[in-house]
Amino acid sequence: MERLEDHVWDTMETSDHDLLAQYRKGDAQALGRLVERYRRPLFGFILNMTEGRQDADEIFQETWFRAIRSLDSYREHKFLSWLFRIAHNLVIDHVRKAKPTAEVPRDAERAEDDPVNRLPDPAVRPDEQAHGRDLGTRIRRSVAQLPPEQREVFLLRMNAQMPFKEIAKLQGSSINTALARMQYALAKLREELKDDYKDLAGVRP
Amino acid sequence: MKCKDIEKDILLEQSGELGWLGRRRLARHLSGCAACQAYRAELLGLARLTATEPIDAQDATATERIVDYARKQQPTRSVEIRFRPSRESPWVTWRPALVYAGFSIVVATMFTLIMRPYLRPTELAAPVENSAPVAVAAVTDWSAAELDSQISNLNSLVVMNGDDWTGSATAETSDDLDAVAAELLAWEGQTI
Repeated sequence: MERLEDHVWDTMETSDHDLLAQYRKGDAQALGRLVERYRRPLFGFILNMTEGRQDADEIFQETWFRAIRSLDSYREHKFLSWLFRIAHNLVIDHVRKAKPTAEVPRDAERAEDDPVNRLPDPAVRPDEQAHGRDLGTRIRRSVAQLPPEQREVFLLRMNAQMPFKEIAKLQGSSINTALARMQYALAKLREELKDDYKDLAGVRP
Repeated sequence: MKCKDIEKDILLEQSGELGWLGRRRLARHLSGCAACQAYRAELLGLARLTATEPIDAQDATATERIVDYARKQQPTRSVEIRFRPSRESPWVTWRPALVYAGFSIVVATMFTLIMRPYLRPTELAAPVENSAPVAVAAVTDWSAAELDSQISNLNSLVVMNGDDWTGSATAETSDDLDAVAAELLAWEGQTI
């Protein structure tokens, strides 16, 4: 059966280690190639989990700085998962600093002590409103309306092609919880996009 | 199975985390459920679209700054990073082999216990206590010399009763032979 990220995960995992080894041997540009490789999923994730571009830029940069400093302790099998765990923690730290007295949500599903639940919805830009008919933009706007924990699962799965097992580990939840959050997210997208969602079946690579 | 559960299977299938049994279950369900087929096709389309959707232009100098920082942080001596091949414990890695070995032992033990009566050698009746001068031993104890001895003893008993073993028996000798046979069987613990 078809899986979008089959070759992506496999080929990336083998050469990530090579690039890191090259960096450790003195080739700083090897790390630059690694940054470029993961720029899109990582920045996309951070941007969708924070309020604005400037915050996203800072967190993206700090994620890499922290990764570089912690490279000695890096012993994980999947580099991308490790990188996203750093980004996830930084996003939470950022929210804690930005909104120390954030209002507790009424939704029973949102745990009071979980900072990820206080993440803001990313603002929709005016140009996005102008081109609101574009399906990709509409999806992004709908994703922005999702509760933070569902949004995070959606982005980690769709943007970063992270397996649910890794997502669950990152969120500190069970794999069933991660799957249920994804199901809720998709149900809400389907509800928001209505007939346009059905058109997705015709999207070809 | 409910479509809600199958949706989870579809999600796991697309992330490459669905096992062999799950894939079989999913294929069976999909063959008869148009709604789940549509769910799967839409999900695949959504994944393709989000993977190719352009993200906001990032600060162009970000990579450059990160590389500069990496250069400053670079260690002065070359250190080889050693990656652990797996974080799983040996118990997790060897669990299938151990389960298989345990299962094999249980099956072999049960087979042996069930087949044991059929596999044991046939034994004659236990030797009679207070055995007579011409005791018949168990078959397993017989040797050629002992067999010859038994036959000659039997022959002598027949001759003692007034007839040759191979000759034609009279009614009287026939009764005697019956008595001898009964005696022999008695030694073996049997009756006619």
